[in-house]
Amino acid sequence: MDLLKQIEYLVVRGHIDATSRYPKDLEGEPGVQEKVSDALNSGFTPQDILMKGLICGMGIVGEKYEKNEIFVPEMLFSAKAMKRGLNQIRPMLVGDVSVHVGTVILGTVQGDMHDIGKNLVGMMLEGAGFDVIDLGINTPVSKFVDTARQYPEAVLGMSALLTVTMKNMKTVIDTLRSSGLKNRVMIGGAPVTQAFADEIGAEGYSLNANQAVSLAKQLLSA
Amino acid sequence: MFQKMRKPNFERLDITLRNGKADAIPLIELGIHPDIKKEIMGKPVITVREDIEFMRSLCYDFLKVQPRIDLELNRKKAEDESKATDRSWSSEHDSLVYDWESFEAYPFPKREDIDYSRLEEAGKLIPDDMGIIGQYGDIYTTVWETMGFETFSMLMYEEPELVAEMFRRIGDVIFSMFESMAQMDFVKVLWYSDDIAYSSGLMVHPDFLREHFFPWLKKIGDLASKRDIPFIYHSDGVLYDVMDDILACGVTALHPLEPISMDIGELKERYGHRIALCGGIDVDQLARANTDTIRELTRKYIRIAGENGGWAAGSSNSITEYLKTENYLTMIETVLKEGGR
Repeated sequence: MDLLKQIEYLVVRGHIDATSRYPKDLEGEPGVQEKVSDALNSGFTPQDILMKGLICGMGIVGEKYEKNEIFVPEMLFSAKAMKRGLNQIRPMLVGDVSVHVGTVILGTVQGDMHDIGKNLVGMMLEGAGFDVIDLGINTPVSKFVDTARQYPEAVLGMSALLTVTMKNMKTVIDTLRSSGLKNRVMIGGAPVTQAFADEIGAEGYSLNANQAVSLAKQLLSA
Repeated sequence: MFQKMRKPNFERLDITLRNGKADAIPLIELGIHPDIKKEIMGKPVITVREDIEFMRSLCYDFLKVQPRIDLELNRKKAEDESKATDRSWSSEHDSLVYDWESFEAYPFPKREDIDYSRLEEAGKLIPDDMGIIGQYGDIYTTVWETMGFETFSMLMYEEPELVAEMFRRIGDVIFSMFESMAQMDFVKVLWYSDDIAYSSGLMVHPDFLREHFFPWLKKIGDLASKRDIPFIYHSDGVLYDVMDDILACGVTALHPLEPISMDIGELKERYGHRIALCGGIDVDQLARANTDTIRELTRKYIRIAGENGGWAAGSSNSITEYLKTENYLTMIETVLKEGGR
């Protein structure tokens, strides 16, 4: 198996480095960190390591998650492994437009403190090469709008756990539009449906973190 | 309010929770927010006596009562701008137990901290035509909330014995509540609630649940089985991958059947002969739709789930403070009018 395939495999398995105890059968074996170093030392470009190793690995992770072959804990390990590798090559990629997929602003709406789902979406987007600006939980409308103004090309993603808080998504969209901002908006969360997205004028709805990646790509290219 | 339409009859609920066909479709809820109760009754509903009066007035055949203990230690508050709600949220990052040292230092609740006084009072006050449901839950939820979900996820694999010990500690205290409730003759149903799934699937691998969670559910199911009383299990989310496990634990009725997660028709077809179903009427619709839509939705559930018994009517989670009271009452009225036989 060549080095890039090994990196892809280790991201899928969520094996961060040689000291990681997960997964058990790889304990003591080199992880993503060591293999990314090996790849750099062997002359692979950071771009290839990112696109053909780390991102391909997270793509497989997303598919497995969607098929319920893996669950949130396993996905967290994969995301951490991916991030470890990404941090190693990030300084070499600064300013390289060829690897910039796009930017997504993410946040859980005002009044809502729930963020496992949002964080998974963020991890999957980063895993697919997006720059993610995470505004966190309980995000005021003004913070969404100010950030959207700062990044007019970015997709804006909102998450909500409850019917009562998801109403705040509409307020954000209305404020964006009345401010003349054209950022495309995608939404998700337990009570959110495609019908609700249509009703409030969101351009996209995603059922899970993996679908959010293809949706963000679609919204950026539309 | 609706007393003239139907008299309480606990047998109706009992038969239904055993997947039988009673004289009419009973009503059920895991929780009804105090603000909604207050709006309906025109006064706060606080005491056990007031709660019985409230439940009777809406034609429920039961009163659900919990033992009291403080397990919500790792929670934070959010101010909800759209409606001033003092809602608490489980922490997904902050970890109170993250290694053996913090485990040893953690002030775990003890069996002797549990307060059963409300249950005992309810036992004395409950009218003969109503029954008491003894309810508690959250072994799994308390473990992950105490550790924070991300830390819990990591430690599942990196310190499995620590996670196992957390389940033993928390499980022991919560199970003891069910042991005590099962010994109370006036408790006629046990109800365990603990969310293990999202609308997209289980939160963790089913094998993990089989090792750490289902053994507790089975122990509680055994208590209900020994008393020959119904046993309801509540979990949000898609449960198909563990339905056989749930059934093997002696669960006689499943709640709350979120429509975004599991379709009522599919559930009835695949599992309707093995387990009773409770709830299902979309909280989102109860919050946002009009009364005509709710009437039609309730009719649909009566037709699909209720006609042959084995369905107790109610919301797909609980009656939250943000849903429309008129919709809640319309759901009840439709069941009372059209759910008789």
